[in-house]
Amino acid sequence: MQAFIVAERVIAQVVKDKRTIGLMLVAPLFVLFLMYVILGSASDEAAVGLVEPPENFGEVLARSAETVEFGSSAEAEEALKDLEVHAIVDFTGDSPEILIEGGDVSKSGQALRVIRGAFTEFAVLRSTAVNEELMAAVSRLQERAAQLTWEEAEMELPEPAVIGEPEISFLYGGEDAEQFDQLAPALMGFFIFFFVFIIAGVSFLRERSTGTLERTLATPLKRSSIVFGYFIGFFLFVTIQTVLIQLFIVNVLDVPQSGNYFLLLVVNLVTASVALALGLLLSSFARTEFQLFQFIPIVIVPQVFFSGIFDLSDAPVWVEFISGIMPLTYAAHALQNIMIRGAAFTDIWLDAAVLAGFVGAFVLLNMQVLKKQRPV
Amino acid sequence: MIEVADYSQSFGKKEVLRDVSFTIHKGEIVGLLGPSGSGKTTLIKSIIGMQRPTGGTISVMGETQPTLAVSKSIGYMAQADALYGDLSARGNLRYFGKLYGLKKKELAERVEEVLRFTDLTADASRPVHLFSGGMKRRLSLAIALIHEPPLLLLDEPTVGIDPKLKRVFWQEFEELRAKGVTIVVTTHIMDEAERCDRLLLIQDGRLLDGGTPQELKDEFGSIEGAFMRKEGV
Ligand SMILES: Nc1ncnc2c1ncn2[C@@H]1O[C@H](COP(=O)(O)OP(=O)(O)OP(=O)(O)O)[C@@H](O)[C@H]1O
Ligand SMILES: [Mg+2]
Repeated sequence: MQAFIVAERVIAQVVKDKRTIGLMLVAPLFVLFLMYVILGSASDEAAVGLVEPPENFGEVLARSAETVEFGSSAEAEEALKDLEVHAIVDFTGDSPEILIEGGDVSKSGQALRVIRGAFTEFAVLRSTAVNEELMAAVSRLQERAAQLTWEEAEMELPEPAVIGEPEISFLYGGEDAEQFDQLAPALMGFFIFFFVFIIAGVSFLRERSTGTLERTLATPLKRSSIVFGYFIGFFLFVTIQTVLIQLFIVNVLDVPQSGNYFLLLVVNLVTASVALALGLLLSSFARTEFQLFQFIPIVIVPQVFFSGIFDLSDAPVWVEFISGIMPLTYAAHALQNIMIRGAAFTDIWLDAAVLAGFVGAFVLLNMQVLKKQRPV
Repeated sequence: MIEVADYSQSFGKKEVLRDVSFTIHKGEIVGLLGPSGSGKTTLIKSIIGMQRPTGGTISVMGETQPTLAVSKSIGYMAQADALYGDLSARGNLRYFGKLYGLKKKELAERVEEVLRFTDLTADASRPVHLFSGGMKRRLSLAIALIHEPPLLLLDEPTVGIDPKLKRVFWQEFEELRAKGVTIVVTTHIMDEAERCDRLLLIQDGRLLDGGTPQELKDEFGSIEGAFMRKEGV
């Protein structure tokens, strides 16, 4: 019950501080919106220059990239240097030559991908045409043979190898799923982690430096109650944050949400608990707010890399290890699975359990540190 | 009320107090005197149980410190004001009142009472970060009194307070003493020292003299004299 007294006071303090409450509730929405706009406006269309392309090749390529035809190789290379195109496919030699711009990494990669795709498709088209021609030639031969011998020529004909258009369907999401849709849940986890860490850390640091922590501990309050008071107080803000972010990304930014809202809230609350316990803990190793902020590049920034924004499937073992000790790895994994794949609790309980383990460990350490303030 | 036996306190290698022993009885106002850095605050903090003595024992109302058992009976005013600047004076008082276990009606009554006594009623709803130094000091005292504790530990309670209010404070201290409240107060001010029932002098980590102000005056001419003599000036 004492924890509620502390919680009430923590809430009152944050609410009285308009800037802090604004930062916590509005800033994530603003940054999410920016991210949405930026990711949405990046065009992934690459332009490819063609020199003397064979019949149909240009049409095949045009389905997935912008194409420009040039009269000569020199002309095409000039355009490549001016960044009018990102790659050239030159058919003037014996075999086609591909020249990639390479400076714009993503566009060059995209260009290479579509050119390769076009060659494959072109090859299929060509072989289909050859197949058909062959089949026709064989039929003609058969007819001729029959005329010559008055007898049907016995011949087993293979089925023409024609591959039909494949049918594409998605297990989760759909064709119009955007990169942002995948990032949004992870970003939500990150924001909650970041803001709770900062605000709780600074609040606790201030309590330490102004002596209110000591004064509070001079009352009959138990050490644990002050930590749990912070938990309860911040749960309120995290709940509001979760609701706001969800409303915003689902209704305004059109991110598909196929999961359970309650489960999302649970994961967010556990994530916030990790951030809170860590913030309180690290605040005791900082004398000033500036020193506390020095923890951000060590503790917060690396977590961004593991929050699902980057694909780590090819990362070396030690990176995997670091990823394994980053709380946000688990938070992002759980949140993405809930929002994108509609995961149930049975799918994410392991993530939640690991996060809860972090909370437990940090809370115990906090108790230990608070012993310095009051031994009983 | 308070029994200190062979108490020593060191921080790392630095020994602040050594072999301090004294007893404080119920209903006394005891002044704790000593030069800056002599360990007055350290002693007070050990008495309220904020740190474990490195040697000896301190017991308060029969309980050996540190313990949570007696915190409810102690009113503490820290040397540096420990107040929540974002909250109003009333908000601060309500928070600490609740932590001391005051219930609704009693809490509301006590809050208004200590506000009136410290002359803060008019400013009770303003956030504390707008307060002057003296106002903050008064609020700290109000917090120490909120739960009507039988033991008050006041670390330089009258710093930054005008003489008129200081007199009011001391009148209140004497009234509380009449009700049986025990008060320990650290001070540098001689006329305050004279109003104490007994004085404890700390010097070089040792407790020098316990005596009434009159005894010290008789021996050294004046309390300042006692100080000077001891310091070897
Ligand atoms: N937590 C601590 N860690 C290390 N040293 C400390 C600690 N607390 C107090 N000290 C040291 O103990 C000594 C006594 O400090 P204390 O605050 O008790 O003095 P004081 O008598 O209250 O002085 P003042 O009259 O200036 O308030 C000082 O030298 C101080 O540096
Ligand atoms: Mg002091």
